[in-house]
Amino acid sequence: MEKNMKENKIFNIDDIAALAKLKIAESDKKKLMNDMMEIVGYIEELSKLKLSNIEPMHHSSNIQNISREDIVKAPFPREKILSIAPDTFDELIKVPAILPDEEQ
Amino acid sequence: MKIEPNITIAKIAKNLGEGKISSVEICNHYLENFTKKNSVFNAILSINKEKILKSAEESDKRRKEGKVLSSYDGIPIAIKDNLCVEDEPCTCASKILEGFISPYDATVIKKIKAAGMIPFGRTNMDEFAMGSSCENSAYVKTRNPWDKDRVPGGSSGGSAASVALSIAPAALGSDTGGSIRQPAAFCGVVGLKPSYGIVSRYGLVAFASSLDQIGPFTNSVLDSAIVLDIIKGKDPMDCTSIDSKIANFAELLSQPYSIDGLRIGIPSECINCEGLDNVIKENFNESINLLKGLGAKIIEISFPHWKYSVSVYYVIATAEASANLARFDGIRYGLRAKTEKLSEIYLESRGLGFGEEVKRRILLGTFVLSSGYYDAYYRSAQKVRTLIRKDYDEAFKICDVILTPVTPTPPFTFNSKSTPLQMYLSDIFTISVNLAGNCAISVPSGITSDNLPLGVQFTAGFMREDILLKTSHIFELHRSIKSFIPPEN
Repeated sequence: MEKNMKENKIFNIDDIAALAKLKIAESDKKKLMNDMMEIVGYIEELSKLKLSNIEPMHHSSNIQNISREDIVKAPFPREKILSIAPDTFDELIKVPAILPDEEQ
Repeated sequence: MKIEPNITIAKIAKNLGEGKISSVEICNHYLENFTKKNSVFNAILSINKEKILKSAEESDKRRKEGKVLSSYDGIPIAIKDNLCVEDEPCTCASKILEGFISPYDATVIKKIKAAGMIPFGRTNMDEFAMGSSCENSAYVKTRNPWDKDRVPGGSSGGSAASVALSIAPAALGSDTGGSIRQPAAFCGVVGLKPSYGIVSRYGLVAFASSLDQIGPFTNSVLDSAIVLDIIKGKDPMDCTSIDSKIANFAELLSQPYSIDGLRIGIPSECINCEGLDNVIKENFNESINLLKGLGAKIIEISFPHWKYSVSVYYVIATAEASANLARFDGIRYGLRAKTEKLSEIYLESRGLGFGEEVKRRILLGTFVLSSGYYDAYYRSAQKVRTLIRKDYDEAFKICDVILTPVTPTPPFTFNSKSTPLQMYLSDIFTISVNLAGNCAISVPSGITSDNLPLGVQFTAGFMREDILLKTSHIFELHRSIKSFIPPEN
């Protein structure tokens, strides 16, 4: 596995931004890239540790799945949710067509 | 009754109870301070004066009728802008939530309202709580109450500054890696990060869910205990929440106790670390001597994995943030970019709505979780997190409380950190506490010759708020400087 970002220059900001569904302006890319390289260079120390027998810690409390009784309660008021939506149609949140042009 | 600067809520409550002051008078006093000071210091992002005064009138009516909800009925408290208060804005200091109105109350808000306390203004912060200086707010720069050219700390800088400036007698903030304790130290107020789970996170806009915790900013340790008593408790809406073993921390502090024989651990790695400012070292040694004088035993402890905490934190916190912030997609609420295609809505809305630091952390989190790097970074960070927790567990076998500085330097000036990594490294003393889930408190401990406040951090084990609050309370009672009021206040 290629771990060393600085040497291999495989850190591709466009690929990662695409995974994160994040548009990055062309003018910001170079600075972000340099910052990321510095940070990744720093956290690199973690990949050098011998940790094979250590259990990973996911959480600080020992949480378990908790099931509760299925009790019918009043739903969250629909109008409150719709009032903060960027665009609505009747009692629905409106978005552009997901499958455009198919039925035209 | 005159409301002096930095009055405690314990004292306000006493005067309310004796009929020496009304809630309307109290709220008007703080609203006047807001009008006088906020245009300079920008601690508060938004405030609804009419609503506050209406709540104050209702509180006074309850009191007249003998129906107070608690001793603290009618006392205002400022709220960090990442906590939902029904029908109020909640921007997280981000453009992506501009104009958003919370449809519900966070559990902590429900609880403070149930105690009759009045939400008082929304405090500025680093966008989505990502930062240590408030410089990452998309709206305004909060100035340090002690020196306008310096930062108030972050991310809850607005909450800390509000209390220091007497714009509010207390405030709520959130702490993911030090976001309560560091600004508390920079502003000269008390800041408490409770053990993970003691306070419900329902209605707190999530940054890193395994680290986030809500806590108070106050003018005294007793006030922190009072607010913690009000906001704590298991909540069906947050399955990570738990009940604390002690029902009433404020009452605990009213009982006589001493720290004679208490074992205070000093991690040698922390004290000898690079970049620790001399003024912090001196003040820290004074604090040690004070505690020694009160009968505490000082024990040198070892913290072998402490040096990895910045790396571990910035892997785990960004990984969790990259998942948590996926909800801001322009569909159901918040900013939506005007585009033709659905797929572009996500990209454009997030590109327009998020600021630079948030983007950087989403990218970093996405990277450490991506195929090929998950094991090297994310999995390794989780394993070192185990080791950091073990270091604490070992330490608490030989000591009761750990004492460290809160920050490596006094409050710094604007734009003084040259790269994001330099800023991250300034969190070195606070972040390991969140990784382990322990509780910690920042208490003012001194004032520099430049008139800047300094703080020390007490850390206790998971669910050991009892010993944390007792120790810091004793420290506060005996420290040489009695009051921490910024100049011109």
